[in-house]
Amino acid sequence: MKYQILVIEDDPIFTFLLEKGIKASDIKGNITTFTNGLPAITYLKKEYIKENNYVIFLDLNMPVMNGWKFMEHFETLANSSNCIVFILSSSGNKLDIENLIESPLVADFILKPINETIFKRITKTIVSKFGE
Amino acid sequence: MRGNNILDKKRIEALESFEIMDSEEENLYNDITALAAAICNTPISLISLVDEKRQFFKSHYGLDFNYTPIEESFCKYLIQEDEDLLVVENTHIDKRFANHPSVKENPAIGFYAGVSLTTTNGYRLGTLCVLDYQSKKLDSVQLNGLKTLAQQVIQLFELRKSKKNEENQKNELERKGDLLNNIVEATQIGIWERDIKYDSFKLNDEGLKMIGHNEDDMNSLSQNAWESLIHPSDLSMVKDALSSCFNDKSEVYDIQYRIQNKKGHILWVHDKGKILTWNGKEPVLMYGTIQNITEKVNRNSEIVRLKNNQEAIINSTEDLLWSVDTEFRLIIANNSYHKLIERNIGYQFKEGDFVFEYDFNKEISNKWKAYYERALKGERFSIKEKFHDPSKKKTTYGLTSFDPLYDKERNLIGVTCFSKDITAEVLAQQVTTNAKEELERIMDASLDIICTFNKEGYFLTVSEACKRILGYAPKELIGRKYIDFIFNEDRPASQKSVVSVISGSIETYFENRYIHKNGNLVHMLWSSNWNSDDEIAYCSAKDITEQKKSELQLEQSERRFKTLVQEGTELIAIFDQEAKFIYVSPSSKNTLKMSPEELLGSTAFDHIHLDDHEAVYAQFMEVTKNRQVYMKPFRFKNGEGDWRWLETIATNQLNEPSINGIVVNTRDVTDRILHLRAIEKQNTKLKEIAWTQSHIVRAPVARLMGLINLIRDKKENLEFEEKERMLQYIIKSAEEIDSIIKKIVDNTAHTLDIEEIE
Repeated sequence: MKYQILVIEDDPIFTFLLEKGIKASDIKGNITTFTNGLPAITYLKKEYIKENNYVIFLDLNMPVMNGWKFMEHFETLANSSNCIVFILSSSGNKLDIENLIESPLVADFILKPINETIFKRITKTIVSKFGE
Repeated sequence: MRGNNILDKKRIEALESFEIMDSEEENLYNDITALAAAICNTPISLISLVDEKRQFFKSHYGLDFNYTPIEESFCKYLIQEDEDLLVVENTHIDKRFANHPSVKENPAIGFYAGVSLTTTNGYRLGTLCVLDYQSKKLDSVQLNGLKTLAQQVIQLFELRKSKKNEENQKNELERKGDLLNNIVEATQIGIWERDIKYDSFKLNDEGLKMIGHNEDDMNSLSQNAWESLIHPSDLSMVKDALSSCFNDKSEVYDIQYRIQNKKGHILWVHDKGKILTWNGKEPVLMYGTIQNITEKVNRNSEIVRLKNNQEAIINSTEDLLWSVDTEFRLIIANNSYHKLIERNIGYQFKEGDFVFEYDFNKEISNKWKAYYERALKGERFSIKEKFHDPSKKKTTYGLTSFDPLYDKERNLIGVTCFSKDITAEVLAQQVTTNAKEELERIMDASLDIICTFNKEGYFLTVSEACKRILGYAPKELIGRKYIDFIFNEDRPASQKSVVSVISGSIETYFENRYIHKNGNLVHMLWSSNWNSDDEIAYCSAKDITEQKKSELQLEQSERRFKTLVQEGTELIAIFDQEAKFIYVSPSSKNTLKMSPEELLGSTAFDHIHLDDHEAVYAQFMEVTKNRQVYMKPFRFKNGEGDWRWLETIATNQLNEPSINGIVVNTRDVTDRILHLRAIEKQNTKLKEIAWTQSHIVRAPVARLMGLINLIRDKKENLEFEEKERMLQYIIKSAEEIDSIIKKIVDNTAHTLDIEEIE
C-alpha cells in the first residue's frame, strides 16, 4: 500500500534526525517536510484526496501555526480511514496531549528523541493500518 | 253387811241421797220421838243421823240442841259395830259410855237404847234412840215398839226421798218445755205441720209472726192460701220441691224462697221439712221449720256485692296481686296476675294450684320460691324484678312486695304479693341516670376544662381536665374564686370579660393566663355563656399554651424568614413558565439594585446577557422536567447597568398550589467569578511557564540525545560532511540549553512575584 509521509517540524535538527530514522526503517513513502502547520494545511487543502493514504509526523510547538491548530483544521477535512497522525513532543507535559487524545486521527504520542525501538513501534502501527 | 263403817263413802252417799241432813224440823218426826219416849218412859228421845263428822238430830225430844260432834255420839257405836240394837242399862258401868262427858257430867246420862235406821239397801244412817238420866230396863214390848217406830222412820225417809225425786222430775219437764219455747222464741224459727190428706197448714206463733199474722187471724190455712203468699217467681220451685218429697220417702225438703208478709214486705225464708207419716205410699203428715233469712240473704248479697267491688278493684289495676299458701298453692290472684301467667305458660293457675309450672324456667321458679320462703319466715320485703313478656317481646320492671299472710289467730298461712309495674319509672330513671352519667363522662373526658361559676365568681363545678391543665383537682377549685388563679396581669381583662358575660353577652375566644399549681403560666382560651335563670356562667376553657408557644415560634421564624428574605443578599423569586417574574423578594434591592416592582412583569431574559440566553434557557427548560436544577452563573444587568454574575438554584413548584411557579434562589457570584477568572488567568500563565519550560528546555536536550543516538548507531557509515553538520548541531543545542536556563530563572521569578511569596 502506498502512502505519503508528511513531516511537520520547525526544528531542522529534528527534521534531519527524523528523515534519517525514516530512511533507516522499513517505512516506505515519499517524505514532504513543512516547518509549521500553516504550509502543511495549505498543502493538504490543495492536495488531499481520499484515495491517498497519509502518514503525518506532527510537532506541537511551532511558530505561525502550532500542532494543535493544525489538528483543528485537519480534522475538518481528513478522514481517519486514510490518515494516521503521530504527535511529536519534546516535553513530557500531559497538557500537550489533553485535547488530542480523543481524536480518531491520532495514532500515537512520541516523546523526542525517536530511537530505533520507537521507529519499530511506529512501523508496526503504520503496517497494521495500511499494510506492507 | 255393808255400811258398817262410819266413813264408808257409799254410806255417806246414801245418807246424802235422802237430803235430810240439816233439814227443817218436821212434826211428823217429832210425833215419833214423843211416842218413843212415851213408850219407853224416858225423858229424852232422838232421831240421830250420823255422817263422818257429826250427828244431826232430825227430831230431838227432851233436848234443846239438834246436833253434837261425832265424838259425843252414842249412836255411832251401832254403825261401828254393825248392830241393829244397842241397849246400855247403866252407862256408868259400860266401858264405852262410862267416861263420856255427857255421862260423867251434864246431863249425866244413865241409860241408852238405840235402834239402827237401816235403809232397804242396808246402809245404817243413824238411830232412833231413847235416853234417861237413871239406869233402867226396857221390857220386850217397849223394845218392839221402839223397833217398829224406827222402821216407821226409815219408811218415812224413803217416802220423803221418792217424793223429792218426783218433784225434781216434774221440775225438769217444765224446765225442758220452757227451754224449747225459749229457743223457738229466741231463734224465731217457725214450726209447721202440713196435713196433706186434709189440706191444712198449721204454723206456730213464731211462724205466724213471721208472716205478720197472729193466732186470732188464722189458726190454719189451706195449701193454696199458703202458696198465695209465696213470691210468684219462686212458687214453681217450691211446688217442685214439695212434690218430689211426696214421691220419695227419703227426700228432704230444704229450699229458700221469698214470701210476702201481711205488710207487703218481701222476706227470704229458709223452709225445711220432712214427711213423717205415710199411709202406704200416700203422704199424710209433714213437719218442718221455717226461718226468716232475709237479713242473712241481704248480708250475703252485701258480701257478694263487697266481693264484687273488691274484685273489681283488684282487677281494675294493671298491678299484680296474688297470694300463695305455705305450700306455694295459689290462694287468690287478680286478673293481671292470671294474664301474665297465661302469657308465660299458656294457661292460668286456678285457686289451689301449685304456682310453679314444672316445665317453666327452673332458675326463675327457684328464685321466686326463695322469695316466698323468705316471706314465709315472717319477713316483709320488696324486690325490684325484671319481667320478660315473650308475647310482647319486651322487658318490664316490677317492684314486688312480699308480705306474710296471717289468719285471725295470727297463724302464718301464706304470702301476699303485690307487684307494681315500674318500667316507666325505671326507664325514666335510667334515662336520667344515663344522661347524667353521660354528661359526667363527657365532662370528665373532655380535654378542655368545663366549669360553672356564680355571680360572685366562685367555681361551682369544674371538670376533671383541670387536674391535667392546672394541676388542681376539681375539689381544690370548687368553692374558690376564679380570679385567685389568674395571672396578675390578666386579672383586669378577665374581670371585664366576666362582667360582660354576666350582663348576657356570649364571650368566645377570650384568652388569659392561669397559674398552674406548679407556678407555671397556662394560656387559656375561654368560651362562656351566662344562664340568667340559674345565675350561673357555663364555660369551657382550652389549654392553648402549646399553641401559644408554637405561635411564638412561628412568629419568630416568620420574622427570621422575613429578615432573611428582606435583608439577605440572596434573591428569592418566583417565575411562571414563561420566566416572567411573579414574585420578587425585597432583597432584590440589595442583590440587583432594583425594587421588586421594577422586576415584576418583566421576564428574566429581559435582563440576562445575550451570550448567556441560550445556556440559561436550556437550563430553565430543564426545571420544568426536574424538580431542582442548579443553573451555572450567568450575567444579569442590574439596576445600575452593571453586569452581575448570578448563580441560581431553580425549584419546580408548579404543582404546589400556594406557589404555582418556579422558585429561584439566586446569589450574586460576580466577585467569585472575577476571582476565578483572575486565578484562571494566573494558572494559564503558570501553565505557559511550565509548558515553555518543558518544550524549550527539553527540545535541545532531545536533539542532543537524537544526535548522540545517530552518531553511536551509524558512526562508521557517516560521511565527514555529515559528521561536521552534526557537530554544529550539538554545539548549537548546548548553547541553546544554556541560554534557556538563564531565561527561565529570570522569567519564573518575575511571574510568581517572589516577594509576595516571601
